[in-house]
Amino acid sequence: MTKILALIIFLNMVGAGVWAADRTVKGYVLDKEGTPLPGAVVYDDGNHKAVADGDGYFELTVPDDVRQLKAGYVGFATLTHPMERPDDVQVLVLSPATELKEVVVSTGGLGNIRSRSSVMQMESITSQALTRAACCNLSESFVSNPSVDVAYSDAVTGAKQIQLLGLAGTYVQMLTENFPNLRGAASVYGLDYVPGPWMQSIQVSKGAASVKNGYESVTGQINIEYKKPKVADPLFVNLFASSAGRYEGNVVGAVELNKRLSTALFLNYYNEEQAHDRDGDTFLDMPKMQALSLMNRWHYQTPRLVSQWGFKLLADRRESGQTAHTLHGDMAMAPYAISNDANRVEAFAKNGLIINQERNESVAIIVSGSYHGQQSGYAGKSYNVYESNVYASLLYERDFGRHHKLAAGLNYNWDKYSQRGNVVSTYRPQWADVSESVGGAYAEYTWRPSDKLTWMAGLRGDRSSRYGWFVTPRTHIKYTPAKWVDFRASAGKGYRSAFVFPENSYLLASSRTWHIDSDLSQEAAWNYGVGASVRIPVGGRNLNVNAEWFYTDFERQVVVDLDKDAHGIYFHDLDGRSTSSVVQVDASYELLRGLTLLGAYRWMDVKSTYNGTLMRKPLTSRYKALATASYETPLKKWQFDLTVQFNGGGRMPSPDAAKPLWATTFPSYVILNAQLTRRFRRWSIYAGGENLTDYRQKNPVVAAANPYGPDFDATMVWGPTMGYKLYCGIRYNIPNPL
Amino acid sequence: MTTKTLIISAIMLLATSSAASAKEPNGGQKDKAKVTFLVSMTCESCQKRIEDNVSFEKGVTGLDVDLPKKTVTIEYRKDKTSPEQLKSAIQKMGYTVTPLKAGKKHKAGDKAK
Repeated sequence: MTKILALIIFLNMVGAGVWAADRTVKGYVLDKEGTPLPGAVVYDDGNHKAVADGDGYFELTVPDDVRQLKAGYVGFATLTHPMERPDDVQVLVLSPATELKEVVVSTGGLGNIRSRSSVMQMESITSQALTRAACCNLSESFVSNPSVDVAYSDAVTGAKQIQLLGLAGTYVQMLTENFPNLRGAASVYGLDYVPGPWMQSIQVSKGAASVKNGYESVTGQINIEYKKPKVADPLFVNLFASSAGRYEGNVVGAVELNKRLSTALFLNYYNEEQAHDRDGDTFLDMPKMQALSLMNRWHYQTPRLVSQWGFKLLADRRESGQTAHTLHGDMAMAPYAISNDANRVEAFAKNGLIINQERNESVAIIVSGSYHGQQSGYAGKSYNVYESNVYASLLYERDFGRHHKLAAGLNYNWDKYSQRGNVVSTYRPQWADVSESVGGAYAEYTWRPSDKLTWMAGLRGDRSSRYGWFVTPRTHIKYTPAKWVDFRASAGKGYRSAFVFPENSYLLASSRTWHIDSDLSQEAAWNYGVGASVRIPVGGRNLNVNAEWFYTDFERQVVVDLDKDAHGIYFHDLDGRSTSSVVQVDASYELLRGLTLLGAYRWMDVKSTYNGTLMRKPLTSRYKALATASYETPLKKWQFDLTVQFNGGGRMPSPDAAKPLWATTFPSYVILNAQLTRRFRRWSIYAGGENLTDYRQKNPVVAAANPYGPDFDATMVWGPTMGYKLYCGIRYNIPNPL
Repeated sequence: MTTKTLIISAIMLLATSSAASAKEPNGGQKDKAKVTFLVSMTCESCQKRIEDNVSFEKGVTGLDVDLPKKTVTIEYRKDKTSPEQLKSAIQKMGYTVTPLKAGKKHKAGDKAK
């Protein structure tokens, strides 16, 4: 321990010598009317000082890590100016001394830490990017993202799965507003539970994540930020219709009740009740569904305290499968109807108290809870789950000088699943009521000797009521030797408790029998990543190139084995190796003013041990490629977006040896999406199409003619089951006057 | 068939619009002028707000918002608007604005981007 400490101190001393450099900050000092203030004095906390010239212009050389300037002028109040982008031109606006000084707590406040966001391999999808596709909900928000895939889990239920680094969505830790959400039962349909127009931004970070949010992330973290009451537009309305018979409406309203208190109300309703069966297999291509959701959130802010709290309600109804009787020989069979009703309640409260602004010292408490009730029926099979979750987190952070930052805290998570229905009583009656509580503590240290180097190391210890004690180490490093290049590396461990029924309920859409080992282990995996991002100036614009490699190695895993038997599913502990190796290269460039091109290629080698043999993960493409072109006219009144996804082929689960009903592999395919947007000052209209080449997997439902027979299987899905879809929509907003 | 038509029309739309916009800057309108303002914007959302609003001001034919340099360059038709009107349009959004003389200092942004 002392050795490590000594090393840190030593490295720091070396670092201070090697890394400390000066920078020249340039800017202007003006009054509120925009009049330059010649002679105004600009200074930092050290002894650096400059005087503004006749145009109010100044140049001030300060140490690299200075993030705050002060300015003074006779008759004006002294200004403290935070520099979020020290390389940019700074505009310092002074107010007359008689005016009361307003203390502005930087927006974002707690939980929004620059070093954290920069040290990781992080991609952000902004609200502006979210308008480049239909983006009815979270599941459609990744269409033009090179890292995240979203695919239908099966041909009938409409359940969607997210994939990061080639692995299932359950290995990605989903967060909303920086606390875990959409876990367990909600992981199956949860991507439909977050309406697109509610979101402010999405952050995708690949590889080991921060230990602050728990031990669960294995392949990465996806955090969703909803629109904030304080900065959201007072009114936003979105209406949408598609050729698939989907009608959707969104309303987001925000009110600032007074300087401290503001609130926002979110509403969403959609209806997709039209029946489609283009392939004529008597099974609906998509479920008939409708959902209503509502969210209300509050924001209270004083100079030292930020409080946020809110709740969300959701009711989701889906019907799919067959809608009419079918004839099998002389027998008329009852329709194989699939239904899924879900009701969900979420509530959260986040409180952050700034103890000392100078050293960024703060305490935050997050408490969240959810209740998820879901009743599903698959013809004769029934599965109902009632899931409760409580999560609490206490976080303390402070800076030690300019180069060191420490975060430490406690987390507690409680999950309870009450499971009913004949599926549970047939396969695992002893799991009718299962629960797990996990409590833990962590510390995370960030060393930032200069803008060039950031090193972060985190360690947490947790105790689970089911699996006992376990330790989670994670570390990240980012090195920027020059302005045009960043190198990143990370390594870390993640754990997860698998809940077989709620997370795999969509697999009930088949005649396969379930075989579940009685005591499944807690899943554990190491993840390692390295990457580089380069900005190359070409023709006055930057060509951005990223290359990265991530490797996931499971120590323990609950394997979902569809290979052992074409008529069964086996859930058992990994016996052998299970790894994922993913290499991704992407490049983006603004070719002409307003025309941005992006190309990405991802090569995936995902293997696990099925039935004693190391095999590629089934239903997973060997590669994915993406090309997007986005054009905006100079005044941004028109926007065109074109996205082409190339999906590589892969392996199918082993078909029955004696009577193969599907091929052993699936082919590659291409998906084309396009959208046109016309913006006006207050509103915009958009129209577009998805899957314009009308690519469909043929006969996605195996043995559809006899769904009660042993061969029926709607889960052998690798491609789109719905053909092309055209849509149009309108967005209207009253902008925030600020 | 329908998909082909769709794709072709989408591509054509893209092509014609870029051709149209390519013409714009030197499109022969005689009384156009440019003005550059220094604006106290701090983040991408300020940039977006300015873009969203100034684009739809009367007489504006071109707009370039440079966040690192804190400048807003507007190309406008002299018969429809004036630098004073454009300045007050940005001021109304809550920013401090001052006209920036061309060719002055202010090289910081070049390095940053």
